Amino acid sequence: MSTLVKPLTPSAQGPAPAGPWRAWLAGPGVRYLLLLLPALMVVAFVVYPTVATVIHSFYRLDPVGRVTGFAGVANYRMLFAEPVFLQVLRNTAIYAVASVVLSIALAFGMAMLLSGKVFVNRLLLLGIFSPTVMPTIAAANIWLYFLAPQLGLFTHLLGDFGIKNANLLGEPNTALGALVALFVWKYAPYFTLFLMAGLQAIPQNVRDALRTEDPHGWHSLRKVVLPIMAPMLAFVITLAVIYAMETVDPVYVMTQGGPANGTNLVMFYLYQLGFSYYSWGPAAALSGLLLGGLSSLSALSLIALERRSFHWA
Amino acid sequence: MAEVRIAGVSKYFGTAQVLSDVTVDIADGELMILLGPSGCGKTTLLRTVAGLEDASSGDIFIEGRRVNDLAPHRRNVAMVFQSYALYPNLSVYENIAFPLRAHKTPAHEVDGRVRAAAERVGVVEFLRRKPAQLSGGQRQRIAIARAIVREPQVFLLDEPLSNLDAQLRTQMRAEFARLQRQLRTTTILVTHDQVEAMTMGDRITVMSGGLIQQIGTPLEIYRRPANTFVAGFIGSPPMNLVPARVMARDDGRGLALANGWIPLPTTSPLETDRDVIVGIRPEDLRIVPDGQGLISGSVDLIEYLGSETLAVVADGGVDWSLREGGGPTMRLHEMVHLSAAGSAIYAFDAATHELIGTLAEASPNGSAQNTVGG
Repeated sequence: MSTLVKPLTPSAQGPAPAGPWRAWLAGPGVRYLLLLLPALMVVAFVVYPTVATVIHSFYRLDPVGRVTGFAGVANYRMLFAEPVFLQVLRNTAIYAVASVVLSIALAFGMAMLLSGKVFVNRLLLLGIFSPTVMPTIAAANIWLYFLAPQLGLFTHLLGDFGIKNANLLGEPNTALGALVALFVWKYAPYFTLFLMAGLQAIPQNVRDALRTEDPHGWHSLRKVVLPIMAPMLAFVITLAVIYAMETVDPVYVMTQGGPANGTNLVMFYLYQLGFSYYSWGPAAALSGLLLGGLSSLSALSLIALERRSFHWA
Repeated sequence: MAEVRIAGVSKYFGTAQVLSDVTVDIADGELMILLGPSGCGKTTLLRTVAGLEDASSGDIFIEGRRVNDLAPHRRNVAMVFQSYALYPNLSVYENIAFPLRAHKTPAHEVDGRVRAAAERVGVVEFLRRKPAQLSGGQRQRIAIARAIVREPQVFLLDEPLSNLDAQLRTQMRAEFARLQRQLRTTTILVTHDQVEAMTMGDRITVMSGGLIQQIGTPLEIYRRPANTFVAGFIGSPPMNLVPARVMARDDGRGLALANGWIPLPTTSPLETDRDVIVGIRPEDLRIVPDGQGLISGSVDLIEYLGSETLAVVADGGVDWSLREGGGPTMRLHEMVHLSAAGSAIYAFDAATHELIGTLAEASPNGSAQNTVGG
């Protein structure tokens, strides 16, 4: 068999492997086998629970989680009939908007300051990014110490400014503010990384041109920098919204949703519905709503990413 | 309209000195070329005038005003970049309008000026398009339109034609030179292309290693190179530069080459035993009958280019480039004898590489045209 163009398979490049074992290893079967285990994991731990949750949201469930009958939209109705849930939605909305806006505004500012610098101090970078790599549970515990009445560092600092015996986690408004601060502290550096990468995509000569042409910098930001950054911003905002919506560990560690449900966020409420009240039906309904909401947001941002990319001239 | 004065500018990047004590005066309306090989500091000098780099020392004046401490946009200069630096998300119209809008020019005025600028460079039909939909030449025209729309005091162009193909470059070169003559705006243009420099520039500043080698008109730079660097950089092929020594023989003094003898006029002030570098341009060498030549060698290479012929004559380890009009008159490996007029034979000091003068000159220091001192 003489052929000039060799197919790019192992057997064409050398002698075929001897023995049935080797032949089988080189064949296509093994690839699918290797794929099987991860695929099974995804089905067992992602696909099945997701589908089961959505189905369960339309059924009555007993406290152990067994189906006792078809419920229609009763679970959803029950969810919205509960005044605490409406408060949770309000808390979550305030928390998410404040966290996303503040963290991204700060990240954008830091990215503008840090990008374009040929040499950024490594220690400074390490300092800025250390909150991001810290597990939220650990970070929440540190913040708990900062904010502890009487002995916390932050409480002491407030005392120096004349605010004595502050108990920030003891008031609904300031407690929610503390959670927002923790989010910004932890995620703003992470978003900075993405936005720095986005800014780096603007060629040096375009920045130079902007510097010679724009007296205030404002026009450059609005007309050139922001539009070019739009896809990256859409991506980071999506990420931030998802992170804000799934916030549960600092709530668990720092406030347990209190005081007076003032820091009860949707993911913590979901946990309570299921594991404290055993209301599996409404819990499934809430999961379904979150799934639908966050998936559509991701889809929208993907579309935005696709449509707003530029070809550099 | 403004004159630009660069006074003793030095620039360091860390410990590396990229500009050392550069002084250039550019007259109002002049097109000054900064010419040199890559890494010679010409782009850094341009960016320093633009305000994109700070001078480590020295001053820059535009129309008599010291601008060192002014931000780029306050210097009233417009820069055109090698890779155009257009804004990819804006239409051609908005690209040209950008500097006007950034400076809060009234809307009715913007439209008129954008259209006038687009018309000048011939891009009116592309105003609605995005930069990515245009060819390199069209993009470069838009970058130029964006510069002229501001009516700046000074144009700064950083290798504006380098990214274009050869044919387009020739066309844009002529167009830009014409545009500059119409607008009469003081212009500094950076290039490494000597043809661009010779054809476009009112004057040329030749730079190397962060130092100015020579400032002069294209004719002066070509006919009166201040040193061996300028002599070797300008001209294609460049000037032949060959070491020689002033010797005395029974029949008079002359320059001794490896395989030749160039007699010196009796009035020549060159001291005997002085080491020099002899420079002769390829087009000044001509083939002469045996016995009349200054240099002898065998023809090593012939390149016939149609309107002219390039050849290399090897003479005892030294290669002489030779250019003659029309077709080749010699054969490969043939022994030929070369000569040149005394006014076309340059002598440079072997140690300093500075021009001493041509052999036809009586004075050792050259004429007053030579603008560069030690």
